Amino acid sequence: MSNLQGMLKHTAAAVISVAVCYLIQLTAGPWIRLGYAVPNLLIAAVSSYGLICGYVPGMLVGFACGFLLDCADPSLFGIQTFVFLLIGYLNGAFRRFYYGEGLRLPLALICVSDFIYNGVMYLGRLLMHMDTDFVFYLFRLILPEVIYTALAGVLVYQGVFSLLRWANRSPRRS
Amino acid sequence: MQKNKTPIPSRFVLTILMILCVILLFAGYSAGFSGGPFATVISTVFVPMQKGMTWTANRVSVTQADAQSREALVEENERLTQEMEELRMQLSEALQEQSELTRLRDLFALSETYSNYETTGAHVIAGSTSGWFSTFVIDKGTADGLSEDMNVIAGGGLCGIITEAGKHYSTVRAIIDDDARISAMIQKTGDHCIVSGNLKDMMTDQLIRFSSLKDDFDSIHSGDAIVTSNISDKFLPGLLVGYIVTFEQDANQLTKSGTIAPVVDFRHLREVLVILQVKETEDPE
Repeated sequence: MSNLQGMLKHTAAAVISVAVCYLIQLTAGPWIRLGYAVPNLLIAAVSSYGLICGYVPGMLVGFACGFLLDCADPSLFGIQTFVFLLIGYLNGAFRRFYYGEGLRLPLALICVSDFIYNGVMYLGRLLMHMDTDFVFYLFRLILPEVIYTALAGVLVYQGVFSLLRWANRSPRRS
Repeated sequence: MQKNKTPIPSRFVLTILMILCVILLFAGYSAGFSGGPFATVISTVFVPMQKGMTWTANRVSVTQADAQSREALVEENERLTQEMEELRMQLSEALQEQSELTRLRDLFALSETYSNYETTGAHVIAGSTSGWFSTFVIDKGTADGLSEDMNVIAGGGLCGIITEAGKHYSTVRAIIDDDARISAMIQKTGDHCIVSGNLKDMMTDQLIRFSSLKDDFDSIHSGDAIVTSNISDKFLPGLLVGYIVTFEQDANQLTKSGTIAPVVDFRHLREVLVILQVKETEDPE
């Protein structure tokens, strides 16, 4: 019974964090952008989930986030779902090194995840538009976004962490 | 979330979700699937919240404007009143000319060409999902009379085209997006060309490109206006796209290509106008 309650709480935590990140990233994106960089909060959320909860939750949250973005922007439908799923899985692999303390590991993972995301988006672009100037995009689009995402990622990670602690509290394993 | 004790192995979940992804990619690429009922559900949930956020943000900026000193506002009011008087004069003149024009057009049975399009205003409520795309969402949809392929203008120029119309929202692809292709022409000469968005040019110089321009008499100059052409299949004719910045002869020695400065400021889009008319290219029969 308490197990079910815990699961519900965890699901609620996931839904809340994803919805908040999605709304901020898309609606407030044009207001908080610096140059061409909008912080990719959903990447930060998926990365945090993967790291804190492991493979399966990471993948599920990743799949959901990617699908949300694909529906919002179907330029290349399915690609974002794919990348986010992969990022959820990869971050899940680092759970064994995670002890719930410090920001170094979560932040490093958020940076790497955002880099992977943008790398794949560039590859999609390369295939569709034959645009081979990677260095240009690296400095103009990818690196600024990675840095901005890392800064915003601190808040996202803290938010996800607190939400999960709230979800974990009552049905503590005996 | 389930801990390591879950009975389902993670590899198994990964495989299943991967297969789902491949199906989605395939459906999107071959059948043009773009979320279908899921997209409807998602927008039903999120669009009201996005509208609320945009409304609040606009209110906040209005409140900030209120904080301007009272004297400045009074002064501005006087200036505007004066300006309005002048404009009224001009308007009455223009109205007279307009009625004459209408009469003459009726005479020539030209009433429908290039005349005023009916428009409706809309707020931008969401930007693109990442820096790689140039799409945005507006807060009106089919319930307000909008539909797919309607042209969107802002600040006197062409801004984009509706690619997807939901009940209370629409997705607009800006003309600076890589996938955007517009059949256009030089306003002065009527020579046709293709205008296409380009992420790189947009990021470095805020420019878009044109190509395939046949200009046998070397009559174009930088600064010439480019408008949507009358042979475009989706864009209404005569909408201003931008002004030529640079141009050069192509290697084939037949056509020219170059860059255009769009008239719309895409970085500060808040409100847009949607033209409530879809270009009809085929006979209904």
